[in-house]
Amino acid sequence: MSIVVAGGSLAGLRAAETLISLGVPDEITVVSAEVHPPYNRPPLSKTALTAAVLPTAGYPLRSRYEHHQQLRWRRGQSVVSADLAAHLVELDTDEIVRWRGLVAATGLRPRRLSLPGPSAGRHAIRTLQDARQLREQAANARHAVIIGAGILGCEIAMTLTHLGLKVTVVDPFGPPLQRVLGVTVAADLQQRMQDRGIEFLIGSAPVMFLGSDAVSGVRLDDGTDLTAQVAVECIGSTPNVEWLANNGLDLTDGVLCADDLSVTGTHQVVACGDIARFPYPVGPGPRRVEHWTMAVETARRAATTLAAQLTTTAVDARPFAPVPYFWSVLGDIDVHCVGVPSTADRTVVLDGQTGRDVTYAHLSGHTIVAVSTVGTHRAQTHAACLGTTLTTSA
Amino acid sequence: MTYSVEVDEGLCIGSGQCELFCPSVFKITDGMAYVLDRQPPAELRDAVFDAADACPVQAILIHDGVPDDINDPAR
Repeated sequence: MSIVVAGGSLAGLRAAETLISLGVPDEITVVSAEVHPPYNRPPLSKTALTAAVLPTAGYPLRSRYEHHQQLRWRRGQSVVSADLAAHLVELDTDEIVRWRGLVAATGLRPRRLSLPGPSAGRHAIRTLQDARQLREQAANARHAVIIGAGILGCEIAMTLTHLGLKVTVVDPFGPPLQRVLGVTVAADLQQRMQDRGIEFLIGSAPVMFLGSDAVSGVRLDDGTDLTAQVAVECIGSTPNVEWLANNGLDLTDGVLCADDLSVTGTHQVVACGDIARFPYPVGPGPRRVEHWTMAVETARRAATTLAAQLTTTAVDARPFAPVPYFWSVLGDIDVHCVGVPSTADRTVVLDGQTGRDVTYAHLSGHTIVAVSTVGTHRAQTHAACLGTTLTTSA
Repeated sequence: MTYSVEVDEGLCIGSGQCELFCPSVFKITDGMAYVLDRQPPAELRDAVFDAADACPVQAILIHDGVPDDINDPAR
């Protein structure tokens, strides 16, 4: 019998590796839509666009078990449906694969705008191929519009600015990274990015793409027409969970898991990476966390849970309760964050100075629920103060 | 098997993941990871690999054998 890992990116790879390291004896089939070995996605919005040469296989993830005899890679293939009660998955090659254990790690795809206008010149970034296309078009473009001022949109905005393009960022909802870091840090970041030549149009939404064969601009809901040969849509992602339908699962925004990352209502099925929606120690209810480190942590825990169901390896009885961490590189501006800033009601400067190297404390009442840093400071050095009361006068 | 560890300083963003997984070999100082022990003992091998796998920018390099420049007096 075998284990099927649906999805061969960071989470799927680390889950497969963990199963091997725990001594699970089964053959492990990793079904990956990508034709390349697993690669790292964060460079796709940065180095992949600026490097003199984009390597054919991108920036590979290191793997200590890359050629392990238990691993069977099915590259360029996808799982299209599953019968969890019968322990079967169907691939897009029409093959049916029987499994003893299943890891769901199929990740996300970018949401796209549904607007009139040409499609050539419109981009979204998730895969190496996406980055390659943006890279090629940006080389011949002078103006870019980025739609969405989240982490990905801001990273791409800074990268394209570095390449010499005039960049406008449009976001109907708020300043850069406000949803993840709150208004105080967002205002700081907006000022820094403006200082580096980026224009922000906050509160505006695109209504159509201009141009005949290819995008020549973007029209906004206030009537403004922006010139752009490149438009990048960074408006969030959709979990790839359709293949799990018709199994009685809760597939509202990802796949609902228990606090050991077993998929709720199943046996010998676990989920990890961006699609895993798990009970969270703080904040409202189960949620997905799209941070890089969370893919690794969920993969290790999900594989440990599955291994305990399949073999005699130890059950980890502790609820899965990782401390979220993310970073972003906005050109020359480093941003780091530990904790859950969305649960804060205010943000204060803990160290340094807004606009310079700075450490922010995100507070719920007087309790520090997250620490973020901009510049050379590093939020992780303050991880120990999460959950403590801020006693300074800041 | 002997192995050696280094951090690519051009890639390191000081995420601190390495220190979380293997604090006896990696330490973050001034926003950058430093290798405390370039030839860690065999019993730390799994932890060193865990640290390298957990690095978001894949900046940790693990080589078989001893570092090329281990006898370099400039080091």
